[in-house]
Amino acid sequence: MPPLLEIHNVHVYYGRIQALKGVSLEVNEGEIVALIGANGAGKTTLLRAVSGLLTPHEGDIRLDGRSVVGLPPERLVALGVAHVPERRQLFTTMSVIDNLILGAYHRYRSGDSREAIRKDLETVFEIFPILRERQQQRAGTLSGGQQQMLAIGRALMARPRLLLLDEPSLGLAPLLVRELFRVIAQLRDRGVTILLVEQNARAALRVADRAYVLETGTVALSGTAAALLADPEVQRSYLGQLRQAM
Amino acid sequence: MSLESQLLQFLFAGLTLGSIYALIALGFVTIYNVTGIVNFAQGDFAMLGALITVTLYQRTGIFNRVITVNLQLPLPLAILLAVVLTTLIGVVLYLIAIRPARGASVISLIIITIGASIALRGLGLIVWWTDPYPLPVFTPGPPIEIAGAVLTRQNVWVIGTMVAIVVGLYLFFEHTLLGKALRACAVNREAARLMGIKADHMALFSFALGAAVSAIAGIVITPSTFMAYDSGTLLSLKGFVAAIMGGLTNAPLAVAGGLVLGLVEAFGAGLLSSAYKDAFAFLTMFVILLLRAGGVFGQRLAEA
Repeated sequence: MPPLLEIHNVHVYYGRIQALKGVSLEVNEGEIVALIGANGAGKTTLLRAVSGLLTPHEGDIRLDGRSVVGLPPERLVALGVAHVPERRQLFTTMSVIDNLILGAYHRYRSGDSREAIRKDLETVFEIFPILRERQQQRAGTLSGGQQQMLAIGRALMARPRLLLLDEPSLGLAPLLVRELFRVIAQLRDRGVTILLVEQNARAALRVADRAYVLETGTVALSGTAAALLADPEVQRSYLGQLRQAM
Repeated sequence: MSLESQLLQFLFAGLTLGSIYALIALGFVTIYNVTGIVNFAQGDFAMLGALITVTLYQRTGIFNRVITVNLQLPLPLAILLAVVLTTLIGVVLYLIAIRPARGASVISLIIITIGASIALRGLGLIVWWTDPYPLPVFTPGPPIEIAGAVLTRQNVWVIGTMVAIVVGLYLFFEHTLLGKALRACAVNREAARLMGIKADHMALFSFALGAAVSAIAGIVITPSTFMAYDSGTLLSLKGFVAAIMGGLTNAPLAVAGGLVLGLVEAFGAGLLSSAYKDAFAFLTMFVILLLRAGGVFGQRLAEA
C-alpha cells in the first residue's frame, strides 16, 4: 500500500528565489510527522504545495499513490486534505458556528448527509468544549488559543484524512501549547494523519512519530522523533535555541 | 401647502430616490466584497433591466426602429424576464471581460468595468436610440395622502422593493450556505478555497446578484422617472457615493448611505435649488471622503 502522502523531489520558486530545492518525504496513514526547521526553511511553502495553494515547478506530490500536482485546493479538500494555515486565517467577521459549517462546505456540496456533518460538529465540540459555549461569538473576538482551536475544528469539519497544521502553537502561552499538543495526539488516536509544521521543535518532536528537519529548502535530517530528539546536532541547532528562547 | 407638508413631501421624494441609490449601492458592495472590484457598470444594469422590460411589455421599435418588437407580455412576466436577461448579461460580462483578466491589478479591473459601462451604454444607444422610455405605474390608483403630502403608489412600490430586497439579501447572506460561502470569500479568499469554496464561482455569482439587484432598481424607478440609454451613468455614480459611506464593504451602511443621499438631494432640490440636485450628491461624497480620511468611518472599518 502506498503511503498516504508522498512528496518526491519538489522544487518551488518565488520569482528567482528557490524556496524548495528537491524535497522528498512521506507520511503514512495514522502517523504524526513533524516538519521542523528555522524560519524561511520552506516549511510553509511545502504545506501550501500539498494543499494546492501553489503548484510546484518540479517534482511530484501523491496522495494514495495518485499524483495531485496542479489540483486546486477546492479539489484537494474533497480528496481529504485539510490545511490549517499559518496565523489561522479564520473568517473573523463570522460566527464560530458559521466558521465550522463552512469547514464542511465541500461535504454539503457533495451531498454528504446532514446527520454525518452534525455528528462531526458534535465531535469537534467534544474535543474543544469552549467552541460550543462560544458558537454565536464572532471568530475574530476569540482569544488566540480559542482561535487556534477553531481553526483546527474548522479543518476537522472537512473530515480530513490528512491534516496539515502550520505553526499551531504560534503566539500561544506555554500552558495552551501543552493543551494543544495533547489535542493533536488525541486527533491521531481518532485516526487523523497529521503533517505538523512547528518552530517549537521540542513540543513537536515529543508528539510526533517521525520528523524531517528542513534547512534552506532541503531535507537535512530525518528519522523517528525519538532519534531526532536525542540527536546532538538537532539538540544544538533546534532544541538549545528554543530553551533559550523560552 | 404648509411648510410641514412640504417637508414631508421632500421626505417621501428623498426616501424614494434613496431607495434606488441604496439598491445600486448594495450591488457595488456585494461585488466589491467578493471580488475586490468596484463595478462601475452597476447603473447600466439598471438601464438594461428597465429598457428590456419596456421592450417586452410594449410595442417598441429597436435598432433605429428597423425591428419592431411586439410581444406585449404582461408586465410581471416582462419584469421577470428582464431581470433574468440582465443577470445573464452580468454573467457574460464577468466571463468575457473580468475573468480573463484575473490576476490583473484591481485598478486595471476597475478600468475594465468602466469600459464595460461605456460598452453597455453604447449597446443601449444602438438598440434603443436616445429616447427616454416610460413604464406604467405598477398599480394605478389615487396616491396616499398624509398630512397634506402625497405618496404615490409607485413610491410605495420603490420603497417596498428596497425593503424586501434588503431583507432578502440579509436572510440569504446570514442563513444560507451559499450566502455564507460568499461572505467567507469576502473575508478570506484563500481560506475559503481551502474549505472547498470555488472563489471563481462566487465571483461570478456576485456579478449575477449585483446585476439582478440593479435591474430591479432600474425597473421600479422607471414609472416615475423614465429611462434612457445613458441613465445608468448617473445611477452608478450615485450608488457609488452611497456605497463608499459604508466603506464599500458594509451593506447596512451602504443602504443608510443611499437613503441619506436621496434625502440630501430631495431637501437640497426642494429648499435650495433643483438645478443643483446632482451637485448635492457629489458634495455629499466630498464631505464623506473628508470624514473618512479623518477616521470617522475608518475606525469602524478597522473594528470590523
